[in-house]
Amino acid sequence: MRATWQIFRRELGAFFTSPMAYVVMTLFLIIMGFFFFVLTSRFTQSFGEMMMWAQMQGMPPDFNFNANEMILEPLFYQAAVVLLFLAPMLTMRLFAEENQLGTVELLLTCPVRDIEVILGKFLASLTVVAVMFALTLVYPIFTAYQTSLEIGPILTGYIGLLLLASAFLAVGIFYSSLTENQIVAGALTFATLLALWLIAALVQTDAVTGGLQSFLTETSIILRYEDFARGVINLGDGLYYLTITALGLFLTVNVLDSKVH
Amino acid sequence: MIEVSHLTKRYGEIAAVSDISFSVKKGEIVGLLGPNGAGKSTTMRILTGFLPATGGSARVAGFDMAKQSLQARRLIGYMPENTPLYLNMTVIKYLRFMAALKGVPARERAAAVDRAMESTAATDVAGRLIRNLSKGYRQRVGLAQAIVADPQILILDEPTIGLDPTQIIEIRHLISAMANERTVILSSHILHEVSEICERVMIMHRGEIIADERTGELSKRLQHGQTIDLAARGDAGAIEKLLRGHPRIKKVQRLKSEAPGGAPRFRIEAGEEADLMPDLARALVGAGVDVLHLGEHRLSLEEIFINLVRDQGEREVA
Repeated sequence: MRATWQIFRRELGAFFTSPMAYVVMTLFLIIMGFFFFVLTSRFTQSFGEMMMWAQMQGMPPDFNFNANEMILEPLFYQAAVVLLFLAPMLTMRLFAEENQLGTVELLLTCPVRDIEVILGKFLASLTVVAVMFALTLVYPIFTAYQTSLEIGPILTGYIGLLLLASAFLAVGIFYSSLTENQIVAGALTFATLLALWLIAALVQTDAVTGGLQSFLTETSIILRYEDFARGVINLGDGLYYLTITALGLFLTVNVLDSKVH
Repeated sequence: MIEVSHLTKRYGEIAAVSDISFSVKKGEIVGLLGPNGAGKSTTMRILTGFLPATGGSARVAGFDMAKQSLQARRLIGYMPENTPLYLNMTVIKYLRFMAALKGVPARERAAAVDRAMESTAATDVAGRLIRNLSKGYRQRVGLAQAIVADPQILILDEPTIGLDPTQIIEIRHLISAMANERTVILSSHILHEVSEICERVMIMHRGEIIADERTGELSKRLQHGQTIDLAARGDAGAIEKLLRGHPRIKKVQRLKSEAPGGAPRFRIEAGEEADLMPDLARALVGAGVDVLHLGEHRLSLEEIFINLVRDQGEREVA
């Protein structure tokens, strides 16, 4: 795994010496900040209304008001959706640029295994995403400072996000290996992830029923995240994301193996 | 060191390389010569493990490229066509990265990179971004990464293409210096270049090797005897008749271009190795022709190539 470490370091350097990582992180944090503001405002507003209502009724205020459920669960869910838009931007360069510059030829003629190269790039992009998530820790910390908060659902929320991100990034890396055009790689990744997300909308209509409905529910890449956001770790959901990750990386190995120029 | 037997690479119906066989001994410097699309790059890509072959086998240092490519790749330094490099890295960081990928131990890496930069005269650009380097320096960086792990085998695809004449000479010197003890295969479409660096030349055409010779012997064999250029003042028809009538001349060709003053020019092929020029000069002067130029014509790659292709065509017909 010596080569993986080297590639990881180089790619991480490339992320942070080009504007891409900063652009993606800034976008993510702006959007998340916006959602946090909206959710928190709504929370305090409802809280105030409830206090007033209790006072008028002469009843003791009901403190069973849950910030986990009202702020962080929807916030995590939004993070998953936003990531769907941003992950393709992080992965589109990874192999497409090598294909375009021709450096892939040097990389693959070095005494390294294809999978080592792929893992290095994958882990570098996952690290960027992890750093990005780490910066969102201010939201639960801020919330916990104001009201009581459960740690469990936050932990599962982040674990779920990392699993989800792995799947997104692996799909992106696969498309990036197919082309020398970064835009094409990004667009195909986005289209695929979007399709996997929109399956969820189909499930809520009458158009699909029975076996197909339950199958589509199982395959929806965002619906799979709901349990994590809610604080539940479901083995099936974890395996789903790991399977997509493994599939994406495995297909990339095959692409690199059969490179035909 | 390198054993290629019945190697074939097909892209669908098209054979980029078809059934080639050759072997390269340790320490040999071989030039792969041919026009664009002849299969040079494909052959090199198979030898470096980048492309799988469709048929036949390639062994490098005893390792089968189809099965033991990883072991073979440890021994090869490769510079692909157009010298692909990471433009956003500095030279020194790039070379350290490549050295690490090629398995140079961490302790020896800095020294290996220094050595590679020194032997390619790239030390003075060590801290610069590759993006900002001239083509000549990029080429040196490409060579530096090829030798950074001190490989036994060097495979260089068109190492001087796109350089200006001074840079070409510099790179040629670098390659000659780097070649000592190493087995080198380099490709080019300039015969002159190959004959200067390489001791042996293989010519490829349409995916086949149509000649494999010591560098010096190639033009001799292909010329089938002496070729002479002549420019003479006088009646063109009469001179041509005189030449055609000469018993030792096999073939006369009137060239389209004329010497200054409208004097006709001829290319003459003698049917033998012996020097025809003194004899020819006497005959022309004796006939009252003013000889303006008389000299031996050396074949260019283009002519060698055309001859080879023609010879092969004749052989196929026969």
